Amino acid sequence: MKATIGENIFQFILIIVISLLCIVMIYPFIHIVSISFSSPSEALRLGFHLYPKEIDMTAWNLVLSQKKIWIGFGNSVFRTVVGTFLTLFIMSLCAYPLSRKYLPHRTFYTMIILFTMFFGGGIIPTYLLIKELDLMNSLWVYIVPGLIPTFSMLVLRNFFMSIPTEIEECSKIDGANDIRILFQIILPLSKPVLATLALWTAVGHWNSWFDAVLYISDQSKQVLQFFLREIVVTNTDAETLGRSVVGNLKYESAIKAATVTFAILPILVVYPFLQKYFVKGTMIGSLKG
Amino acid sequence: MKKGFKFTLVLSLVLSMVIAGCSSNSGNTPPASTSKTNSTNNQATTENEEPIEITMIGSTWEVPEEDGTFVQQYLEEKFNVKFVNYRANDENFKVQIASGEIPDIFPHNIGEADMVNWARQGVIASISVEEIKQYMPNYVADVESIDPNAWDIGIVDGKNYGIPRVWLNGSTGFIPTYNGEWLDKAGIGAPTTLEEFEQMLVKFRNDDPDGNGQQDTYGMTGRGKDARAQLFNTVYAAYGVNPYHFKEAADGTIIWGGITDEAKEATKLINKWYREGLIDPEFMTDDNGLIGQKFNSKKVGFIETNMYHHLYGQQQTFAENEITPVYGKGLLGPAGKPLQMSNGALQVPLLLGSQVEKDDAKRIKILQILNELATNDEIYLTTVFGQEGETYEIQDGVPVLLEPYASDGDLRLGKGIGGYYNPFIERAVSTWKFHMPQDRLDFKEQLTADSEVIADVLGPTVLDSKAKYFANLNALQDEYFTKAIISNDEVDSILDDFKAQWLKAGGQDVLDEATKVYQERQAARQ
Repeated sequence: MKATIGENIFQFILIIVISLLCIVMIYPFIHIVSISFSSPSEALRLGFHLYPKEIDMTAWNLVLSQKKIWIGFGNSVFRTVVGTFLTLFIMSLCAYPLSRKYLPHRTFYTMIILFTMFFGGGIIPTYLLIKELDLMNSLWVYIVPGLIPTFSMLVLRNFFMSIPTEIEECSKIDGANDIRILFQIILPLSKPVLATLALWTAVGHWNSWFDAVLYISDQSKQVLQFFLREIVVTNTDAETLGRSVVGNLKYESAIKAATVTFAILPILVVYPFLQKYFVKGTMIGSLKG
Repeated sequence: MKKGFKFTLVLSLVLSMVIAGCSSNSGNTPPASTSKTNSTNNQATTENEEPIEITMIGSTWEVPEEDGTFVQQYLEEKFNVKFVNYRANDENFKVQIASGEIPDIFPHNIGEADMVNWARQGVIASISVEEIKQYMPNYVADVESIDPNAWDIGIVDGKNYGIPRVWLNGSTGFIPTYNGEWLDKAGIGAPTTLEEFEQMLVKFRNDDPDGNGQQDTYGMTGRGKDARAQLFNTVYAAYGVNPYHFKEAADGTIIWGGITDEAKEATKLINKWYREGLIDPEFMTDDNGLIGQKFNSKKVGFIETNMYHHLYGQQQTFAENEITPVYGKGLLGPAGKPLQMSNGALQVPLLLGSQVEKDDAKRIKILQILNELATNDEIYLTTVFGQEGETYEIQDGVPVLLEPYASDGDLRLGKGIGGYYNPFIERAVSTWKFHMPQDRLDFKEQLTADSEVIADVLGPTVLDSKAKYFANLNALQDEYFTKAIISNDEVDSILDDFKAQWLKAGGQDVLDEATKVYQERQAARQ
């Protein structure tokens, strides 16, 4: 069908609006990346920064030569990779039984788990719990307390429920036990939702810093976001307090920009590849009950 | 059924966010009554006399990662004590306190509101003034030489809760700093009166001082986003007031700067300049970083948010941006003399954990150690700078860190030097000399000699009504003052409205209490 003039105009306006939106969203990234490559005076310049007028790699050299940054990077990668894998594994083990209608007291169990979404202990009781569990200053404190994100688990459960039980019965006839059905039938069928949940979990792990601040005082176990915060936020009054983390006030803004860029880079690289699942998975997971 | 479940899911998501929001604010719950010292350090030094164990955290940064650093060993040997290193940062310190882990010596950067809460909750020790005077004679003499009323700050419900502290830089004023090139181009010197200042603003705005052919420069901007006491502080000081400070009124009562007629008059002048387009309209959202950027990239020709020690640190930046800073004094205005705003020297005292209150031997030992840390040259140098010859050397009377310690913070932490074992770093008169090389001393002299400052008459004094109302009152004031400054010549009505609102919203209680406290102190001094 041929589009009418009205429709064409509408499309045109849509494209313009969306392009503007894209620019608004992309510009901050360009700005920060550009500043990270700028010389001190260029970085201090007001106005738009689309590309550095003179390229100065000092800030990047300073940031990448920091031992802390690499320690943080290593710990962040550890918690993201191990944390995401374990979360998906344990979450599947939890969601699968809850998705089967023949599980006795299924609603009761679901409600108990759902309850934790409504009520948490608050910072101090949680802190005391972590201390009693002897998780203070341990890398596992990043992974264990939030091992099963309730909301994600329910999304996964709902997805499993949408898989016809006939498939399961069929496999049972062929001699598969429950564990085999989960790992060889159900999980492969759930790839889109698993990818989505993996992305949620991974981004959550990568971005989180508050648990690191609360529970970790050993610098060799800190995550990248903690050092990022130290450099970008806490360090703002460095001159007064004499505690410049990077020790180079001249390049302060470029260093901050370089650190920020370095910290978002991994997510930026991974995101486009998972994005298609992200949209698909969200739609599928949320609508089945 | 299906719909119902979907609804539950959405609802639960929303609720979980609300609850997460609430629970992250719950940091003020009262602490558990039992206090436990964490005993991570098991390398007990065996002495003939059992050493006293002191849980130490002098600062929440520069925290040594290892136990038994050079400074720790040095102090342990010197005083026959054993330090347990308490590790925390600014974010988790309060949580650790609330969970019942209370150090013996608190970090030096505690806010007054926390001090009051902790005093009432039994977290911190009350220490009698006589005892401090008895065991810390040198330090007390130091403090009282700066401000004999330094004790006022630590009094909660009639009891003293800490060791008074002063910050020597704090007694100097904020320095009005001008772009020298722009002044030359305009053919004027650093303004000394409000009228000259106004002429300067006009020239900086209209005469294209950066020579790029566009009218894109402003005389000044202001710190409107944070630290509002610094917003146009030079102009307010010329009227003898700061809208965010307490002030003594003519009748001996305490008045809040923001509701005085002086503040109104000053705001009228600023409003006039704003309407004439002389002030950067972005002042509302500018913080110190942005103001510095604007000054350095030559968008504004005047900056007022630095004290001398900030400016001392920025010499290189100015040079790189080809700016010759010209430092002025306060402006002569209705106050009748040139005044500069100052933060004041008084700070929240150094606090000790409540367990120290019951343990006489420990408390006395701590006081003695603190006295030495602040005033004994050798001990001060060792705790702050390390070993002479290895980590620092004395050049022209001041210690200078040697490489690689000067540039590598991690190495310094490995030695334990800095503020962690010495909460009086840069805070005591006797040892202040080690931070003042001759050029810095000269610079300070050049910038601050013969200047008069105005400061908050109460300083960080604890008032119950302040804790109750102040956050709201300040928000109210931020809003009204911004509105008045950008209004169309309606400063009078807006600020009258503000005064009424402010007094009604708890301001009157604050003033009554402030006056009472102030007059009690005045009476006690006679």
